[in-house]
Amino acid sequence: MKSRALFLHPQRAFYMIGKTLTATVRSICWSVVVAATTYAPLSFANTLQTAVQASSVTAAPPATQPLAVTVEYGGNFVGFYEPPRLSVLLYAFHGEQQIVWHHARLFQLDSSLQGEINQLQHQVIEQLKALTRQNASDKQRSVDLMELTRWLAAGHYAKPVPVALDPSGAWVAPRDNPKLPAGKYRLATPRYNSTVQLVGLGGAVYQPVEALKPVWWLLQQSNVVGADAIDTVWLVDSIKPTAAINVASWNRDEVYVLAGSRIFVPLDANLLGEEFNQLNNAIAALLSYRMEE
Amino acid sequence: MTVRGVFCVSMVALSVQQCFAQTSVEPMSAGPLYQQAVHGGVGLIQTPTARFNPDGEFSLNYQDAEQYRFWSASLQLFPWMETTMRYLDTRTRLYSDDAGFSGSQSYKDKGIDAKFRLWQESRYLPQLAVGFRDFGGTGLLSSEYISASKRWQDFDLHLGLGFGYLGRRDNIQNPFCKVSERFCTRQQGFSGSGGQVEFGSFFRGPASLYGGLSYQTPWQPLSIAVEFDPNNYQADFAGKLPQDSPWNYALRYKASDNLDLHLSYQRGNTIGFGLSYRMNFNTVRQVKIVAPAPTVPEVRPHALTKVDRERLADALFNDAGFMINRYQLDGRVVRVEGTSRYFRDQTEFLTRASSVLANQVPDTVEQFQIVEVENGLPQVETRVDANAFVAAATRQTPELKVTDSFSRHEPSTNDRPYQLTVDDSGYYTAVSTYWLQTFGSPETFYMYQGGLLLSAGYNFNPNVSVHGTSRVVALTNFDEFNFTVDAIDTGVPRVRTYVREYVSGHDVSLDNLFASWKDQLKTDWYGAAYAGLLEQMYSGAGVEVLNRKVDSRFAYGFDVNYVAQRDFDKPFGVRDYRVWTGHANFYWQPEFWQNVLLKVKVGRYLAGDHGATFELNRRFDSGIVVGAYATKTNLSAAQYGEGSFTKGFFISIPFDLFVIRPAKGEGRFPWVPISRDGGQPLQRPVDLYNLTETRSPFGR
Repeated sequence: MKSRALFLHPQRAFYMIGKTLTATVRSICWSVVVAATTYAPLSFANTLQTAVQASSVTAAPPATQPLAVTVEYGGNFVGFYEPPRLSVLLYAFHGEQQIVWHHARLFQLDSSLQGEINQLQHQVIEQLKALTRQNASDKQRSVDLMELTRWLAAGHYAKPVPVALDPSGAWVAPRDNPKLPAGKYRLATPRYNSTVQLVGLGGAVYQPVEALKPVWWLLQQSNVVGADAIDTVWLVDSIKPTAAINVASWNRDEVYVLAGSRIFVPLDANLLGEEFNQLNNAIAALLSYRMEE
Repeated sequence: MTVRGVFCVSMVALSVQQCFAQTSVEPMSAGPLYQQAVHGGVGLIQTPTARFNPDGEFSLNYQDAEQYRFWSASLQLFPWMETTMRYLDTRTRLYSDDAGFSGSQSYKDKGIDAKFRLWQESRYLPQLAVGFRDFGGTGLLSSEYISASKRWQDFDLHLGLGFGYLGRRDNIQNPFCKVSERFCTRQQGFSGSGGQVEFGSFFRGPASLYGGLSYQTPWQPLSIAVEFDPNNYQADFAGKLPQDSPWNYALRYKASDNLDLHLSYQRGNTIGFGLSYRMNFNTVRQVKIVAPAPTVPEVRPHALTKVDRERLADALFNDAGFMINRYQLDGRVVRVEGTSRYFRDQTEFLTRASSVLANQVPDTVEQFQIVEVENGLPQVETRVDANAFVAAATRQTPELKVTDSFSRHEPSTNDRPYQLTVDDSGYYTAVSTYWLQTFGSPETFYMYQGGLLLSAGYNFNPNVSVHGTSRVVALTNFDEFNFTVDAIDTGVPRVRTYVREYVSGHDVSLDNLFASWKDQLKTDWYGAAYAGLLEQMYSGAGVEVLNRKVDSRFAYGFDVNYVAQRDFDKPFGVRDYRVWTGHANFYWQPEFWQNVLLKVKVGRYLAGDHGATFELNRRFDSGIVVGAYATKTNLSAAQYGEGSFTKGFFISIPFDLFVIRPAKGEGRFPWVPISRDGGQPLQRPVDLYNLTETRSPFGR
């Protein structure tokens, strides 16, 4: 484990530490990092102090004080003794050049909604399994459904913080700079920065984005199962309402999406039948809680 | 999985989704923008299609093709209904045979179209629409059609069946003729005095199949249209027009987001051209230059023990446009009463006013009461949970919204003393501009008058005032009138057809001068009385009563007036004509029909005729309101004269869309095809429904 950055802040302090392997190791790391606060490089602290326009640098809190907010990003952790403003949190990641902020989202891992989200995931999986059993006679269809089920089951889901992550915007616009409630968070960014994720029968596929190519064209180029029979796909975002995009030859919209977008290709209504007619809505809802790995 | 299980999933999905307002899947794109046809409205060249533009799309069009010129305005009034108003100029015909009446002006004819969507396109089925072209008035272009449109990639294919003007090629037997012989023939012209909807001619007479396609070229701004024309032009109003080919062709170029240019080749021998200027009433916006709202402190000024009332009043006016005339601090509640002057966005106004209060009143105050008073009438009291507001304004958590701290109530009363009371009495003056215009007059197509309205008044208190307005003409061509009163005498008292007498011949005139009283009589009830020179043509006295609850979708009331017709020349003189007039008034914003206001007025009109006026208002997201009204009274079409009954349209545009500073108020632009004497109401100087708009704002 390598210590990466430490500094002090009027709202107390935050720390970033290196890669951790397991939850147990993480908890040990917290103790180590908190203890190391006292030895934080002063020059770094001064730099941040200017950036956040702090009036003073306070002494580090005792190591026994629990962290109010922790943020995980790619196995790294940042901690705050008091709930920070979003701008302060994002500053901790200002050196992370690979983050494409447009599609980055913050998820709260321990929100009161987590139980319902888990239940939603469970229900969606159960329905897909039932649908798979119902289509057992169609081998390829069953395989595709199982792939989707597996992909959804493997994901991690949590409540998104309903605010766009824009490090510059958060500094200049108070309305885009809320205080984060105490809790555990994860900063999730899509790892497919030159592709869009297409989720549907068969799970998820990644289609490279090309300039000036609309969504219907991307879908045509992809190998999403049953894409040619689809009239409308859904653009799913964690903090924006789900939007329908027409993609068939009779209704297609000239709509363009950025790399990193997640598009849900709804299951055919004939496949779902009356019994599962709410399944597409439930999957779209679940996708909006999905944290990108 | 059982049905119950499915239900559980749905409920969980729904409940979780509600936290993020994702309960429905909305279209990402408003849909394609379709080009306007020659006659106005979405279509190919001469023919309409079953396509509709996005809701609120508005186009001003000009098309020119040798014998004909068309000016039209087309609006997507609802997602399923397109409306078009049009003036047709026929170059080969004179306005009238009497040169003394209309000079050498060419023939002008106005028309109204409506198109309704019957069926939305799906994978295998086309979109279907039924339309009515020029369905009132002289009916020169009157036609009906049923149209189908089906898209395949960049091609949009259209097929239609036309009747009337769109059926003159007569290339197919009228299918309705098989049902009833009545449909086999079509009466030409119009019945009665014109201006009526000729239901008896709909879908009758010769019919024609028509069709065509439009192709979106790979170069996005350019599209191509080809159509088979259902008209053979053998009996056109402009004369018998040669037609070398039934095929028409057009190039349509999108010059900018707002401007489309058209070039067409019609009848195999005629080049046409045109342009369309388009905007969307839902999305049109104006850039604003306005100081940001005061920053709300995370910790309110707890050390504050005394409020600087003058500073508070100044800040409320400067930062929130709120002119207060009463202030009361009573323990945990601070109450400010006044008038919101600038911000038509209620949330922005309340946020700004609350921000000022959060900065300037002690943190012991738990509730802000903001009472809006308009024209001396208390409208609504917004109670702001001070701590919730501060928490939301300072974004203590991402989910909090300032609007959650607001709640609207009937203005309350208390006996506690006010710490600040501003004298409501005093003089006031105002200067504004006006512009009158008429289209299609015989003297010249466009007639106008513009100038200044100089207003002054005195408020004795918030409820009693005198007010006068003088009109100063600066620019006009009304002096070109070659008659002031038409020669048509139907026996109905001339209550409005003397209008030319009033608007011409005076550079300065007194529009109105009246005393008025208005007050809130009791909870939800308002009353008003007024007397004097009430409007340009009438003086007299009247009363009005209105019941309107806060945030209610329904309101009702009545007005009673006794008026005398004013003299044309003497400001205070009256003519012999006197009449009692008044109405029972009903207002309804249906819950099932968002952004629509229906008004119904039943009673006696200026000519002594009895009847009802129905008015439909549609409000768009930008605040623009478009409306139409019709009045039917016990006068017959023959008694009424040309037009058969009173009808009109209007568009009301918020001033806020014209200026870069926030502003309240709106300008109303009426379009009245024919104005006669039947079904004419008094233009009352006090209208309680308008004065109490803040109580249950339209469309919000």
